[in-house]
Amino acid sequence: MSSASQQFALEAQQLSICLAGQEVVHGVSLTLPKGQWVSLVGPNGAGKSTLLKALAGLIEFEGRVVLLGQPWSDWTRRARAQRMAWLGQAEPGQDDLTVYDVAMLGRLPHQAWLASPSPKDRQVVEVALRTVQAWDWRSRSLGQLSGGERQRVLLARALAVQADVLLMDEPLAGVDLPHQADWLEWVRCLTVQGTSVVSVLHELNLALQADRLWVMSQGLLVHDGLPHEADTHNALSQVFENRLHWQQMAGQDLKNRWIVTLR
Amino acid sequence: MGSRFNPDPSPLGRWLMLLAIAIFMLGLTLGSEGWAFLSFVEDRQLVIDIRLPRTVGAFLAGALLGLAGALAQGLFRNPLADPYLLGSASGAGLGVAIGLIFLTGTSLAPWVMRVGVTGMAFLGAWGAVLVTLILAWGVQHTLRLLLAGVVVGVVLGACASLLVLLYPKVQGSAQAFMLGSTSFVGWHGCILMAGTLVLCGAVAWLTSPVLDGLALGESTAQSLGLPVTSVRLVLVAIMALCTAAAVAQTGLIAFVGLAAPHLVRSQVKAVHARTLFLSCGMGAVLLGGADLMARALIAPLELPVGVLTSILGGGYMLVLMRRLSKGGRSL
Amino acid sequence: MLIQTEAGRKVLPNLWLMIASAMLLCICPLVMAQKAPLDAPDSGAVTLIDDRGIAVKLNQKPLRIVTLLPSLGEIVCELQACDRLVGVDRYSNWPDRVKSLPKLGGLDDTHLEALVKLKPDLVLLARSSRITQRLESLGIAVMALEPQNQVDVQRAILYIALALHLPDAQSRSELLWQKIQTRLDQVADKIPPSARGARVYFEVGSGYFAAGEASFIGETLKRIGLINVVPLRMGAFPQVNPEFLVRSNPQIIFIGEQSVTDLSRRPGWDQMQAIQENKICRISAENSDILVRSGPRMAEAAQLMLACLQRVYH
Repeated sequence: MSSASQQFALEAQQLSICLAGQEVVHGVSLTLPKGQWVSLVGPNGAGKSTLLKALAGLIEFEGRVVLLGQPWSDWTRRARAQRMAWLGQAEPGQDDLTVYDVAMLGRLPHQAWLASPSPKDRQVVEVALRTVQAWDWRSRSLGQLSGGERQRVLLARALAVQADVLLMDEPLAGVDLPHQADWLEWVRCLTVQGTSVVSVLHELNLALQADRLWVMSQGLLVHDGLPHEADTHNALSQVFENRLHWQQMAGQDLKNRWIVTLR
Repeated sequence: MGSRFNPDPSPLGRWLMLLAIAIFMLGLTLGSEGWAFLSFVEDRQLVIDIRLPRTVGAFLAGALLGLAGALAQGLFRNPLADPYLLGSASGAGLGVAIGLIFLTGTSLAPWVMRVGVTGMAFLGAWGAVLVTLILAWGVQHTLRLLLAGVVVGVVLGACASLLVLLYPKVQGSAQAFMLGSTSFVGWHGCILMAGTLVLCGAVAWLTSPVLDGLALGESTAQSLGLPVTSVRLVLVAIMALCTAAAVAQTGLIAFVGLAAPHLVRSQVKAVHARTLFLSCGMGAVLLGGADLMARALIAPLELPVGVLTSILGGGYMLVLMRRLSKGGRSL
Repeated sequence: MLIQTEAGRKVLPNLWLMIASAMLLCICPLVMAQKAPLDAPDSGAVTLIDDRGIAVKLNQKPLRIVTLLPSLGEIVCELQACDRLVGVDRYSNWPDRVKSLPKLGGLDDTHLEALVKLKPDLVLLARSSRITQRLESLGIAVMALEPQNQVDVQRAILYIALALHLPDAQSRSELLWQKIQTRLDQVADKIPPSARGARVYFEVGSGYFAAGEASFIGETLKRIGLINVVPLRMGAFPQVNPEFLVRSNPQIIFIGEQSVTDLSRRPGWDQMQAIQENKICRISAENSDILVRSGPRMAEAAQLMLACLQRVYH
């Protein structure tokens, strides 16, 4: 194992995905550095969710993927579930489980089959729920929550996995602005602790605050770079049909310098 | 036994136990001439040979349907799913029609005799689900599975109707089967149902974490490392087995499989390892109670218990609808 | 056939495993099904193979008999063993003595407990019945007979005579049969000459359900010299095509009382000879039992037909 691959949480080479007989992702190669937050952006239908699902191991792909330094085929399903968490777009499901139970489901990869939750499990779930500020209503059922509250609980579930790699597909759907800002904080905390995060975001201004940006369009990875660089801005403008208007903000921090609006 | 996540057990289990005992005792005293409290002593043989297996059979069939219903609602993540989703009801009807027709003297009669109408119903229900699975080519795509189930249900139902039309002699018997009754359940049937319940209950309990994971969606369940596809296949098989076993003995009983898990979930918010057993208990109490009412309402005549469960189930749905329209968010 | 689960992984053929276990499980009901009673030669015991193909062994003379099919009860009474009947189904209504017996429901909703309470030695019922298995599992002797034509009735009379352990069972059943046949012949002789060879349509149920030549009713009709428009090849109780009916132009129609009113309004029927000449025989509710049941009262049935024919062919 080369030292280069050890610094990458996730590596993909020539990743191609076929859905219903059609190729939707064409030969994507990317690297996810450890302890970094990468935003995957692009227009609708670019293949972002598909790519994320493939990286999470939920759909087949062709190509070579190395997760945490180990080739894909060396991972057992359970081991992979313990080290990589995926938060998808909310699927309709049964709304009877309580918030606490939902968060506890995130501990499944670490629990023995049919075992009761251990004290460690309870502790992790409590931390996760407190982080997303859902601890106070942990005995409410999922169906009683609003969209944004539900999304936060699902995030707590993903946090409870305590994975090294966290893949999130539109985690901020329905989440109100204050909690969007909180979300940034949570992701920062995660990266400081060494977790690598990939998020598909439609909120470009939030995405620009990531450590890296992957720009996708029509199944191709068009650009992989830092968010404040000019190349990245050009790539973004191109994929969004030049409808973006870049504004530089006077600011202390390098990252907060650019915001994007529609022309 | 506390739940996996909620440390305090709900009183629902205790209530169900009490109700079951009450229904059981009443069932033993309800005879062919109406209530006969003292007949217990006089007709002991009658009680043991007829009333006891009927009451126990009603409990067992209800438990099987409750389990199958809980599995259906967990697998398809739909609170309105019932165990007959994948065509097993029509399959059983067709099996019964074929069995009754062959009973009336063809060269296959001895074979059919051995299996009995009960066995034919079982094979029909089980076979229908098999056909559904083959049509849908596995359990990968839920929508395809459900569609295949509808197709199989409709086609087999039409076949059964056609057969009954061609052989009108069996119409009465076939229809009686469709309405459901516990009067044909003997000890033999009880043993078969009990065995199925134990086997299926054990498998369902062992795979219940997958059902919990499925509550958040198939992809999420997979991402949690759960063996979703293979377990779903097993659970569909188990569900079919439970339904077939119950339908073979008591005919088509509507709504028990739908209402039992519903009622449990409205009282207890817990994970499947716990609610599965409560669904069994609730189903048992529902069918036991319905059977008691079916025998008692117009004693000494009997109502088909399937008709009673339909009426009761319809009432329950009405209550749910009113609750929904009043502002509850979920079913 | 492999099932893909996730990226790059192929799993065992689960579906085949399931089919295999399904087949295994299907063997269970076969293995655990009730065994048919075997017969062993025993003096004084009568063993008969009933219509199910199962050997029914009766060691002693059955003194308490329950019948769940009206025609079988009628045969028992015709064999002068009516006093042995202790229970009948709800449709049995002949002879009068039977009306006072406890009614045990039909074939599909038999009152099991009431039946068992009567402690019968023998239960006679039709082939297609779910209750048969239950009764046998309770240890009650059951014989299934379902006469569908005249030959069946003859056999049923013989079997029931043997089962009842009647002295000279064979000759007694023969006697009864001859008596029925003689009366049938007498009725056949009295048919008005103009009615002989007439084409007849016998409707048993609304929706064009006819009694064909192959049915019991058809046999009686043939015996009294009428020609059925529904031939043998169409089966016993087919649902006929109305066009076929109109084309065959029956000269006499037998039909239940309730359906008579709208006959001429049925499409094409006003052209029928039977309608134009008003040769329609109405079957009242109480008479329909006699006509429809394939039992020992076939001579009475023929008599009813004769009465109507004499009326319309005066």
